[in-house]
Amino acid sequence: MNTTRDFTELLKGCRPVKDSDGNIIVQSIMNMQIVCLTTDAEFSLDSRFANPLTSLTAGNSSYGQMSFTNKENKEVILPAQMAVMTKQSAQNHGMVKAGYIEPRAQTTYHDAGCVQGGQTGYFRGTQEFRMIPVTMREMLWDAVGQTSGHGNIYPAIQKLGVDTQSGAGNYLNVYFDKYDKKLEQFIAHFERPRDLIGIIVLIDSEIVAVDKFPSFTYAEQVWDLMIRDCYGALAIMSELKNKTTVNEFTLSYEELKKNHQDNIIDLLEKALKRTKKSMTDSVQEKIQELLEMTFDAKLDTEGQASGARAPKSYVLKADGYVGQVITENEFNHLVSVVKRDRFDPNALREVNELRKKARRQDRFSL
Amino acid sequence: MTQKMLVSVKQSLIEGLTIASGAKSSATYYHGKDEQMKAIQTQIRNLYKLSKELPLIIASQKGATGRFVSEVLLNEFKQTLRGGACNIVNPIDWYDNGLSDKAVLSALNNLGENGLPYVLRLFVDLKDAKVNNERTRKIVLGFIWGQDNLEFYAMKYRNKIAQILRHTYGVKKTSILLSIAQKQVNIHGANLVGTQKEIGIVNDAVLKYFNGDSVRAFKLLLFLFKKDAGVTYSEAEFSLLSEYQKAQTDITGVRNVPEEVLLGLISSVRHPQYHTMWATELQKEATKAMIRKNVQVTSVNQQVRQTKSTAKLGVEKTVDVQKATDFLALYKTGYENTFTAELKSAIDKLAEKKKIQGFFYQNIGVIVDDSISMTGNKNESKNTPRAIADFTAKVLGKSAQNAVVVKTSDVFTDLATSFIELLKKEDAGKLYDAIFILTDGYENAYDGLTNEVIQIWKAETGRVIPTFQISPITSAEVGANVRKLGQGVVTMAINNPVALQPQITARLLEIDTKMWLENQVLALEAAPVKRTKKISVNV
Repeated sequence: MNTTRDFTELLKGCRPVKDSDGNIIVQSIMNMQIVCLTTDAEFSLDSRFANPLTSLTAGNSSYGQMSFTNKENKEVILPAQMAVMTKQSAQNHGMVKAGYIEPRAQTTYHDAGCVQGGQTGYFRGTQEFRMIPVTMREMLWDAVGQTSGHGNIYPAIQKLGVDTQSGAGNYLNVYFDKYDKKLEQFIAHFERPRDLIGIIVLIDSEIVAVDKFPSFTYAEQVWDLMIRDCYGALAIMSELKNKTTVNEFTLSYEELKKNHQDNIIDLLEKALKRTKKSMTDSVQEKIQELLEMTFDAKLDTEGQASGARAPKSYVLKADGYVGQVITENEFNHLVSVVKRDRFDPNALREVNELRKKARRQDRFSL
Repeated sequence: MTQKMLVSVKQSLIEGLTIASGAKSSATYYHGKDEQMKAIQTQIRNLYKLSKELPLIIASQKGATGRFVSEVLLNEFKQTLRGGACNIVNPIDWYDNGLSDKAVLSALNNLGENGLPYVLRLFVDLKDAKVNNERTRKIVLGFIWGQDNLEFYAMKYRNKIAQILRHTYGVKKTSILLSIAQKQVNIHGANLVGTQKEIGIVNDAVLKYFNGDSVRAFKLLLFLFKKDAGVTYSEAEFSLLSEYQKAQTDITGVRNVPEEVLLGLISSVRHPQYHTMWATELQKEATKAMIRKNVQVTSVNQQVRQTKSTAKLGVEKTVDVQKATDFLALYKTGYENTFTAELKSAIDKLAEKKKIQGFFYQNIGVIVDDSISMTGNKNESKNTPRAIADFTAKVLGKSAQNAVVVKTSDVFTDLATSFIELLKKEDAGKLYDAIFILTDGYENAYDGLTNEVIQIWKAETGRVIPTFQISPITSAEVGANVRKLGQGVVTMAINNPVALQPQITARLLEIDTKMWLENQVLALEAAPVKRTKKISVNV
């Protein structure tokens, strides 16, 4: 069953976390920024879902598949693209999507993939979970529903290996082994606000990923893994490309100094406010652009619970963006969207501009 | 020392002091346990290579962490007296005039100030490292037998002390000592009557170090090695061990035996009261509450840390928080419960006690990062960085004549705004002569923003004032560095405000390294330490 979803609808109820001056709080490192989203407490389903990292155990009995057993009496939303990196004598595997698992149930996804080429063996009863790096997400969502073989994830690992100069080949563990220390420190760069429900990630001031979680508690549970394993790859790539932060404050200050006779402290304060506002405006503008976006949503049934009342999974595709939503009666529990690597947002800007112009045009008449 | 060597010494000392006051043995948010140990050991090796006195000089500084001091001493004991080279102190002074001993004992006392378990752990490490040379043996025996409160420690750390003594004496000598002790104690009250050889052994191994009569020493020895069946500890002579003996059959009403020891006794199925006091969960809770209520030998710091569990057990116990010396315990109790007026006053008094004497700066500005990351992480005890930062700010406030303290207001680390707020609060008549920023260094607005603001302010005003970043993340960062705010800010890591002065000194020693070293050696010379409290022992 195919349908469409507007971006505004996917993130309904959410809003960016702001400081006391009303500026969107933008946390930055090098050329990467994150904006945290929050929502009203009534939209955070804290008591409904169990912790995905502790309530599930994973196993498999065939390459290219992953089974999850939910040992809790609560439902579990499986975060997008989780991997098992095990110490067992077994081949590591990864998911190409998010999932939903009913209480005390077991489910098997046949569209999973190997993430450790030459290793053999099946794992069982493990909770050694990691998140797959965000830069691989696009290729993985394109593989949702592909149940033949076990190589769904290999091309994405190969690309990650090139992008991060880790020589990962078909081995995701090689990437993690090389950068684990750096990734661990990366967690400390960002602070998780209270009542976090989602995250928007920007690179070079362009939105590259958006995640919305089922609840504040859930966001807290997956925060470290998301920052370290998932988004960390972006910082590693930025560092390799020698990307640095522009001295925005200094620029603002120099600009202000030309026209003001204020004392130094007032000038510093004004420059700081201007710097923060400029960061806010830039982010706001980018989010605004996405608001016009509409995704094609394709129902994903592979491995997902099929009960009439169970939440449904849809794979989302739009110009330049791809992702997934787990939704139930128009309430979106989990949303995960990434920008396609090859996509130039300027193209979208041109399309939007044309659309706006078209809307302003009067209908033909004499 | 050549000029070239002086440069290396200076650099190593600065790095050594940074690690010594930051590194600990457990994992933290940023660093694994192994990484920290590696950083400490590498630093000590480097210092030792330059000159063997350097690690001990740093280990004698107040604020050096227990783990750092332990590693320095372990290294020193391993190398024996003859290892390494003295390049700073005249070797005659070091070896023959006892300066080496004073340095080791100063470091050992410094370690002891962290708590006796630190010293005992070091002595156990000696066993694991198979170190048992003559000097080490004498220092270990002098320390253990010289404890004023040995009866209490024997009860509390029975197995550990026995393990240490067995290693130090060796299995054979331990057995001989125990055999002599059993023989003598059975004579009951009589003075030591043994062969000349036996007297010699006992004098050399025990009495030389022990402040007490031989029968007392024998009874303690038999207790430690659990060979005391049939031995009676009279209340007059052994007020604590006599209670312990009573607790072996009845724990009710016992007041002077540590809580953990009593719990150890009653939880054994062989204890006569086990089935009536420990067999069910209900009985356990009631027994724990009774023990918590009765025991009088729990330290104030531990009692403060137990505030929550004491309330959970339903026990009402008045704790004299004014006597607490552990600021972490006080703050954590405050964060978890509430900062009562009594708690605030205790913290205030403790900060006054810990204030830095002869502090270099009179008017200071202090920024405290109060963001979420300061509450710590799963690897670290909750609220530790926050407590270190809050207490350091207080101590700084007490140490200077005037202090303005500003806390970050949002949940995110926005130090730049706080810096401007601090400038706004500056009194024109009392301009800041130093600014301290207490933060883990992870800015959120964007990396380096605060440094930009500081540098522009300094450039525009022409003010040259030291700006210190104090990181409460207690770990040995790779290369002895913590996360820096920027180039113009001096960065240091501390786990206790006591470490502030040596850290600031470390920066000041850049000005005159020789003078700094000279002062440290003079301080060692003047240190009132001895291997034993009875007599001085020469190797």
